[in-house]
Amino acid sequence: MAHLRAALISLHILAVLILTLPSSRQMLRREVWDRSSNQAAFAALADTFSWLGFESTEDFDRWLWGVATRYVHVRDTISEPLVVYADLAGVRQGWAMFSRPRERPIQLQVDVASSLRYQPIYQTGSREHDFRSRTFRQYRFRKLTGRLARHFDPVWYDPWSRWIARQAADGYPDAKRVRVRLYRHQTLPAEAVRAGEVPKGRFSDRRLYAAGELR
Amino acid sequence: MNSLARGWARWADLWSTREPAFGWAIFRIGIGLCLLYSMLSILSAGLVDFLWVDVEYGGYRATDPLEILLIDLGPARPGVVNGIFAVTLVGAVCVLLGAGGRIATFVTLQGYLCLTRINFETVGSDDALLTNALWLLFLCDATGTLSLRCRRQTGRWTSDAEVGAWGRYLGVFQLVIVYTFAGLNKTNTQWVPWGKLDGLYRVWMDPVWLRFDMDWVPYVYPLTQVGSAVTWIFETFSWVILLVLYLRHTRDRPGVMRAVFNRWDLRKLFLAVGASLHLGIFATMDVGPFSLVSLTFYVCLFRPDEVSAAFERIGRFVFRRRLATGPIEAPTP
Repeated sequence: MAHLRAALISLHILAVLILTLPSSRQMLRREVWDRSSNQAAFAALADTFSWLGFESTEDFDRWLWGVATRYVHVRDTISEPLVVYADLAGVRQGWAMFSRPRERPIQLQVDVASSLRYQPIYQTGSREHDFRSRTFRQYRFRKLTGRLARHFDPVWYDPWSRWIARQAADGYPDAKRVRVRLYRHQTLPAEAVRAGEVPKGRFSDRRLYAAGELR
Repeated sequence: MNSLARGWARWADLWSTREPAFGWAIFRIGIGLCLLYSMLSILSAGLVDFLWVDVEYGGYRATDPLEILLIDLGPARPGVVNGIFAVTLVGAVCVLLGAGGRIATFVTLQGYLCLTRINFETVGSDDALLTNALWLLFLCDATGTLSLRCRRQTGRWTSDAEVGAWGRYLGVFQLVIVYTFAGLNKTNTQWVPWGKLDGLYRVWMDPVWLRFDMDWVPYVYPLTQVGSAVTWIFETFSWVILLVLYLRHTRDRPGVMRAVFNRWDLRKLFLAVGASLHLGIFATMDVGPFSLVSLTFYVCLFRPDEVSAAFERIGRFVFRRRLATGPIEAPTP
């Protein structure tokens, strides 16, 4: 019994270890690599390598791309037989949150209009406009908002914004129109904030609904 | 016996160790509370249907079909989803109270797994930690003491029941896995000590997660840089705690490093940094029960007698304070 237990535990530890190794399809997308933020990070990494005394090749980016693609291939190959165990038991583990904090935070804004002008009823972080804040501020809802905005796809975004609009239409029986949109702004460096600069943002991904159709 | 066979025998012995069930029961109670936090926050926000019901039946998106132990329960209809939610919620109460033994734990585990796996967009690491904890509590029964079962069987709330220590060991492993790979994921210029170290600053400047305005953060920017570096170092090198525990477990054997690690209890440093990290997150940001679940796993770092002694100390402290702040008799004229 002791040996069987030790063997099963060993297999479990091995499976969890391998499955937790970071892997993402994003690593194999050239357009993700070419983003300015990632290119800046690679440049900083190349500098670090040089500082540590390793010879940094001229084409560091190509070398890193080769390492990453090989890594993802090996990781996927050895983890393939373990996926069934992980899926069946639900023993996957990870914590990628805050691994790369957003440089452009996203806030949700919901507006209703009973006449010509829209009035905000919900804004992320606002105490004044806090319609259904218990729902919209629940951590899973905010997590979802962030994910939808980061990997924007109308297939997922549209039904989500429609659901929000339906809540607004129900909560404001006089409303004729509902608008759901996201506000994105660039986080300013600390010295800029201290100097009195205010972050400038813009609204995006706007969806408009006739309230009557939602009720 | 060759060295490989000796090594394996030691390995098997390690996982066969038994110990008093007190610490493991505290872990069970913590996990029960975290489960309730997770589920009640969804219920009170009115999000059960939103998160898990299929778009065809009133949810916001097409969810995967409901499945428990490979049994297909069909599309996520409101009745079925709410039924599973209710059973899981009752199960969480059972886990907390130590009622229903392994069956209640297993039902809770399967219910929670079923719900959290049908909409990948709304799950997080806290869900994985909770389901992993429930597996451990199911396989390594934690209802021997501090439980309704103990009360019913012995007439007392506590007992001298023993439990396999392997559940606790795997709890430590799980914690280390979470931290180490979180650290590896953070290996970029925002967190590493030789980078810009603006990770924590950016987290605190994102209004989405904050509990309150933190306009003052830019004025303490260097402190946030220190926080970023400490976070990355702590997480990336958290595996060292496994070495510390091993050297403490084998304290009778020789070796300078073993002697050092047994002289200074580095678990306390680990606890202090980790608790500061999680309490800092919990105080400033609403990211769900992750911090509380993680802190619950810290119980696994300590032997049951140490956990018991800590509770006794806390009890004495609270009791003494109560006496000190109790009603004061009016002076006799």
